[in-house]
Amino acid sequence: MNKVLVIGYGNSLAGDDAFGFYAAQKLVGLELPEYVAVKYIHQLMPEHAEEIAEYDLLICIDAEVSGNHGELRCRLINTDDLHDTGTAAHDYTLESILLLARQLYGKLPEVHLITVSGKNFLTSDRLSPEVEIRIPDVIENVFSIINTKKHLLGLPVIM
Amino acid sequence: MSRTITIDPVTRIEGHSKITIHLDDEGKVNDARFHVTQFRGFEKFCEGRPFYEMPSLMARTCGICPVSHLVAGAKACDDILAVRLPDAAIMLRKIMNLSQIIQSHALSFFYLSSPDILLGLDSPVQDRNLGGIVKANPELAKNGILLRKFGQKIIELLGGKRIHPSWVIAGGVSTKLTEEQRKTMLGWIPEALKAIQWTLDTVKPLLENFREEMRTFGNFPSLFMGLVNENNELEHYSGKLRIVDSVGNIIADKLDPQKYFEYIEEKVEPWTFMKFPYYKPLGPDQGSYRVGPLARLNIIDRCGTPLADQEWAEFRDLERGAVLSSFHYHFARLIEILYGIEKIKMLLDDEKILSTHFRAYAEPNNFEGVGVSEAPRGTLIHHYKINEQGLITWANMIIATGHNNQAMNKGILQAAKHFIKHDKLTEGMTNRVEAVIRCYDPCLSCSTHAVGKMPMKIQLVNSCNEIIDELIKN
Repeated sequence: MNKVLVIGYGNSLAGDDAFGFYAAQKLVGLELPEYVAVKYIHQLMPEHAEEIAEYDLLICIDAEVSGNHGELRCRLINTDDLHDTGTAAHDYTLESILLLARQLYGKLPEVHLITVSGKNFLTSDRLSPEVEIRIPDVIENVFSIINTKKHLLGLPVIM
Repeated sequence: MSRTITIDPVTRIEGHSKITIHLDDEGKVNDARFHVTQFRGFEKFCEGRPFYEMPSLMARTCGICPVSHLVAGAKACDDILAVRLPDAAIMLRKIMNLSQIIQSHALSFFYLSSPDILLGLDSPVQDRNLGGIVKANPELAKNGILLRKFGQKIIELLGGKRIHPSWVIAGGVSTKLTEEQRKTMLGWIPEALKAIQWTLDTVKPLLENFREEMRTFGNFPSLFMGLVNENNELEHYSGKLRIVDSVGNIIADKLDPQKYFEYIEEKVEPWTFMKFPYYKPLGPDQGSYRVGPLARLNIIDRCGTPLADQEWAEFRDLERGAVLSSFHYHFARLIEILYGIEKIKMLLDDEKILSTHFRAYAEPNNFEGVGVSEAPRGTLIHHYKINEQGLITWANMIIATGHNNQAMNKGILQAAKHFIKHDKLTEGMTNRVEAVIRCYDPCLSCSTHAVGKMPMKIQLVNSCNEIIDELIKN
């Protein structure tokens, strides 16, 4: 049974916006335990709410506009305090999708968000070097979060 | 003193546009225009590319309906190759095209338009979204998500990814269907059928609350055009074009889609990037037609699947002759979702679909090819010309939303005349004008969006260009 979902998202034609997309793509190429599922997608949509609700642990990877280029941040999302940040047709935030998951499917996993601050968000199909270089660090963070939570989830450690 | 009201951008549609409403000296609406403010350069920058790249290349026009462009583009390439496709290839393409229609209709109805229907056109603007639906009727939101996911999952299963799959190629499809894939898709059918039947039962009574909108949301005589199959049933992939008038009379039948240029002409207006196609024999005004779900259900003799036929009978009872109100695009969309699910099951139940013969091979045999299919929003035409090296020298696309351009303009004029009567704007008034556009679900190539925020500014401007009233929505 899949217990951990890693989702990296971003527009692969908008420069560093695609950081999460490429980081998750890299993860897919690694040997992962069967309880870890990885997705790399263009953007979060309501259809992902149902899937998210089925997992125990969710790790999201995204790009961030603010901060120094290449700056990596890791945070635990407080799912007890989610606000409706608007679910307009083209503007679904992580928070709004999590809220949908709880409202419609009645449960939510523990959610961690890993971000890297981008440099270029204009039309481009590649990452800036100082942003791309953080992909291994992000992968290490993903493994670290999973291992930290293994006792809660009843899972073996990833080496 | 004449004035202009500008609604910019129009919200909850696919792409960028604005509406201007022109008032006369007495403050009455005398004109309204739907402006498409984005530009699609695909026909130009594909020149010089190998023709077999076209299906995937042109699919990039849109992130919502890429499969429709993929299918029409592949059909144009089939025409260049002059091949006869294996049955399995046609059936598999039909399934993918129907899945595209289902997921797109689900997005249009549940995510974009159902807030107006469930919560009302005067409800607070911050509630008119999927979040508002979740609070008011979570089951409706769940079914919307389920149906969109149903279409997307099939596209992903067949094409490898949900957006911009490249599995439909010149001559057929790139891989065969496995028995396991077939079983998986058949396993999804019952839940999807249940969801759309529940939705129809829930939504139909709600539509009765919109009598005024039915009368004024693009309710006017026009022609209707779309594909029908050899039994004059609903058809989204092949068949011939049929045109009916507002009374329901067939005025042109069995038109060869590949000769569209003999009976469809396009006129240009300086204030929009979108052209105005019309039925050539009747001229720009009388020849104005509508396409899409409403048109498709107006031109057929029956749907051709049992449950959809029952709903279609109710649809045709809405009006004598053709159903004219564009408000009924919503109902038509739901019927097409039902039809699509039933039809996909019928196609999957046919053993021929598992054939290992799923692609025809040939070198180019024609210097020109036309592909026509039904996209979610209506008839889609791709037309390519190549040189002796097989490189594209010319391309033309008439997108479904383009066919509806004249009707959308007429529709907003009608709604504006009915609902906008004062110097002072209210959100409910302008939302009604926007809601007319949402009936048509125009797709203005939203895949070009870089950022999702779409603030909307509505200005009331006098003849001296002075702003006399303004509403801003974020």
